[in-house]
Amino acid sequence: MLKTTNLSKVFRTDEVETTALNNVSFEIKKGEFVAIMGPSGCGKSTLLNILGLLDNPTGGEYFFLDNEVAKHSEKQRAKLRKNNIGFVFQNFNLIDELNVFENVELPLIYLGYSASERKKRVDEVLEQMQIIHRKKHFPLQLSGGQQQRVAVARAVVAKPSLILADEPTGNLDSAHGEEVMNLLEGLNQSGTTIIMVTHSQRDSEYAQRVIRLFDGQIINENIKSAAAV
Amino acid sequence: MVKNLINISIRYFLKHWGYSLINVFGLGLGLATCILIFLFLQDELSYDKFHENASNIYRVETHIVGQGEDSHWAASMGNLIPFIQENYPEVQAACKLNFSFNQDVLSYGDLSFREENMVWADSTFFDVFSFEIIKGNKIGALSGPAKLVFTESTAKKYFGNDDPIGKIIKLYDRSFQVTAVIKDVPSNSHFQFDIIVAMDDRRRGDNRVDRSMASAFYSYVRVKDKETMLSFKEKLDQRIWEILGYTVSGDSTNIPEGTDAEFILQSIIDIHLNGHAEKEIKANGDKQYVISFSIIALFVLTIACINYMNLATARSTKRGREVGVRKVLGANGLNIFRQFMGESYVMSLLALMISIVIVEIALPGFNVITGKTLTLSVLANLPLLGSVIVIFLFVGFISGSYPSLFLSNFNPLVVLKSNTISGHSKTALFLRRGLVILQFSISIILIIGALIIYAQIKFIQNKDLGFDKKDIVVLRLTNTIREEQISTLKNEFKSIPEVASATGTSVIPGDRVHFLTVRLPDQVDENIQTTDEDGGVSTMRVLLADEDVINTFGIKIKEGRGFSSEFGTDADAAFLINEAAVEWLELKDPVGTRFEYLYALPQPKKGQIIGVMKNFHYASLHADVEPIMIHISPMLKQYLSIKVNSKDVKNVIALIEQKWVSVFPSIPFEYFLLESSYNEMYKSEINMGQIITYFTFLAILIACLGLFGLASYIMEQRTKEIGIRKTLGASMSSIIRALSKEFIILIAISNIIAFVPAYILMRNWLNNFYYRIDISIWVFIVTAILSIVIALITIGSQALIAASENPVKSLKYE
Repeated sequence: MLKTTNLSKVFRTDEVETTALNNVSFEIKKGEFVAIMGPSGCGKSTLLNILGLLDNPTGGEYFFLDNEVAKHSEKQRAKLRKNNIGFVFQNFNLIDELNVFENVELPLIYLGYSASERKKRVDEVLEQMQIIHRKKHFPLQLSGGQQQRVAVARAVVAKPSLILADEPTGNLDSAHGEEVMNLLEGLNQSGTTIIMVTHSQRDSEYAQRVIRLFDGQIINENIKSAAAV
Repeated sequence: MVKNLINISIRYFLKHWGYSLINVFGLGLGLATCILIFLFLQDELSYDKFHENASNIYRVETHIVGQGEDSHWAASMGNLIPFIQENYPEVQAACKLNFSFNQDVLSYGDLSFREENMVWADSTFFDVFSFEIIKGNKIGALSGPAKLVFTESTAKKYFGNDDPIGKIIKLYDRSFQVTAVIKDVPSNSHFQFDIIVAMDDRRRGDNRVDRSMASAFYSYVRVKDKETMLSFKEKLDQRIWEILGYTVSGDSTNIPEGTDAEFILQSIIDIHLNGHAEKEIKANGDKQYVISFSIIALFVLTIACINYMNLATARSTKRGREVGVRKVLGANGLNIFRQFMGESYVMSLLALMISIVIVEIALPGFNVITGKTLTLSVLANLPLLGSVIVIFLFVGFISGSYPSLFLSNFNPLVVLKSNTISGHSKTALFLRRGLVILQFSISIILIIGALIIYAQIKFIQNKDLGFDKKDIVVLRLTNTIREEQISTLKNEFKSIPEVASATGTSVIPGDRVHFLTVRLPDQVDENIQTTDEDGGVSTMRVLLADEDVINTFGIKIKEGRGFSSEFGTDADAAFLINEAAVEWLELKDPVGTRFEYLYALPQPKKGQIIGVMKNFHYASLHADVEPIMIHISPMLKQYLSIKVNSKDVKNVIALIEQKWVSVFPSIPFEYFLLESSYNEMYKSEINMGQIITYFTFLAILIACLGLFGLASYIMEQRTKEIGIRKTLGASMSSIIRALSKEFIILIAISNIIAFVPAYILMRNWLNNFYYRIDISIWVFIVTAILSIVIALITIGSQALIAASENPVKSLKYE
């Protein structure tokens, strides 16, 4: 699915140089569920952004679906992104002025689906996420858990092969958090690759593999590790 | 996509209704101003275009330059049209008009009315002009004597619903037949009339009217095209001296030396805006206003668009997250651009609807000020519809372009991370400040303009005119009233204690004073071989009056004496001239100089100058005082002016009316006050001043709406800063100062930028007046203070709210 070799990211301001990622190399296979863990500031989100084609690395190579994309322009990245990647954020990032249906519909609009096709797909995925009864509601009328289910629905509606989740349960209580994790697990079981950044030991247990970052470097990469940081 | 767009626009509108309302209302006001100005301009530019061959109809005017004289007369002599008809077959139709000097009384049965708007016209009238006939036949309508054509409303006035054709009307105790009825003259015609009288009536017995050398006629020709007009003009110019009567049977010795003369063929569609010759039929419009108003429209629209851009851009930083999400979900820059552009158009559409409501509400008042009868029928008015669509597309694009570009270029990552886009990005900040400065510079130019126009109008109204226009009641006379009757009436008035004096005159101050022929026998150039009768002839403005004219109008005598019945000879042999005339005639010792008056007299009236009047402003202050002569004459009396010595003028008018009715039981009593008729001269300036004041107010209102929105947004953005400052012990006043500082600097810069263009614009405007104020430094100081105060009030209210918030609350925003 994707592979990085000596990936690094350095942020420069006029006087300060901060290394967010330092020679990160790993591979993620199709159908995997991988959790990325580490303390605040270790570079997790930077890594996720690069993997999600939202940002370019400053060094190293990044192969996405066998394409070297490290030097791609925003336009090229956007094209790859909208066809292959779905995003789930900690703070849901739903658009307040759009209702549930319209939020979920957005990716399909940008992919150029017809209105009837969009309706079919959105209804399907809302059904699957068990939120169809709220499709005319606006985000602010929903609970956090419901909002995140909408966000997941939006992430999967275009049937991406990869879902990137950035602390998907971070803003949820444990019951709602579990609901969302079950959804992600279900998606993974039906073949979607999932990469999830998390602080939560419990959430990481849903993953088949945990990559641990510290100060921009991988310190541990194991399958179903129980070891705590 | 479109549905999504409209949905989100409307939801945004409702969610941020305060801001949206400011935005849409501001834009609506701007558009309304533009629509009003458009209607005004459309009307101004439409004059006389209703004639079928409008672009091929010309008025033949005379232009004579030489011997220190440059006279361009709209009127021409009676012999011109017959000459053209006889000699130039390429002229398809030609017609001359003569407007009635006096009011004539027409009667039908028991009904009788004074008619103010009568025109005498050749039988070819309808071959040149295309006023729409609704009853009768235009062929022959004006051929032969004793024929009249009525306009629809005049016909209704006399005959109600009866058929007017063939009805007999009494005029000058003679019977005239109504031969046709035309639609009322459109308001966008450069000449207005209610009744056309056949010129042929004046040709009964002789053809004097076609030989007349008096410039009392307006000559119109219709030709095939412009080329024909040009070649016709060239041919006509070759015989100008013959037409003007200087060359008789090839003898050209009488042509004044060093003098050039030509005919000007003035296209009738240009008369309204460009016709400013001597003796225009009525005061025409002014191209300057057309230009000024276009500029104002552009100004106001710019301000409104800037508002939209600024507010939308400022607000859009709040929508950073939305843009980020959309981009992450696959939207490209174009998608985002389209979305915000679309929203801009949705807002513009709303603004457009609001503007139409505003125009409907404002139109009656606007009509009162402009003296027009404009109506708003967007769908029927294709040019307006077209312009509205163009303006809508333009405004939507301009207003939406910057926010759209600004937002579509965001890096989604940055946006998502920080949740808001920093509104302090350098270019955004720079641009926003620039736009605020531009907005306020425009408003400041308008404020300065309005102040200067106001000061100039005040100056004119308060200027010592050299005569007293206060408390003078003016009665209109008709030409059936004889001189003895005027004397009787004057004597009657003298029995009213509040009447100080009364005088009958040909014109009153503020009217156009006739140019008539006079002669100074002492100025005959000895070197030129002329007979005693011809030398020293010239034309000058002449007021015909009676001996009470000087007292009644309070004209001051500088040298010699005024008229007096004590001398007994004043009526036959006395002339008064003003200082300007002394200078013009180069008289060293004017009193006692021999003087003659020749106009329309079988024998010249001979006498001498008995006194010199101080210059008085009988005409507009646009020009310097021209030479004028006043003498006692029973001719051309149109007005009886009565000086009233009482605070209670109304009551005195009632007494005057009683006397009038006792002398003229059958002539309707009509009066007005000299002061108001005199001020009519400045009507266009006063109107212009009023309109500019309104538009300035609008511009400031719109700019303040924008400033208000922007300030409230910035305060919101700075809540954290305010919280920190307050926690650290800042006082409220210091916070308000900190928050207002930036805006005050911007307004100060706007002032500095606006001063020079405002000065240049207003100096040019003032140059239209011979008597004008100097542009004082105070205007700029007052404007600067005013603009800063207005801005401070606008921003201060927002700053006060922000500063009085509980710091805990403001810190929580983070």
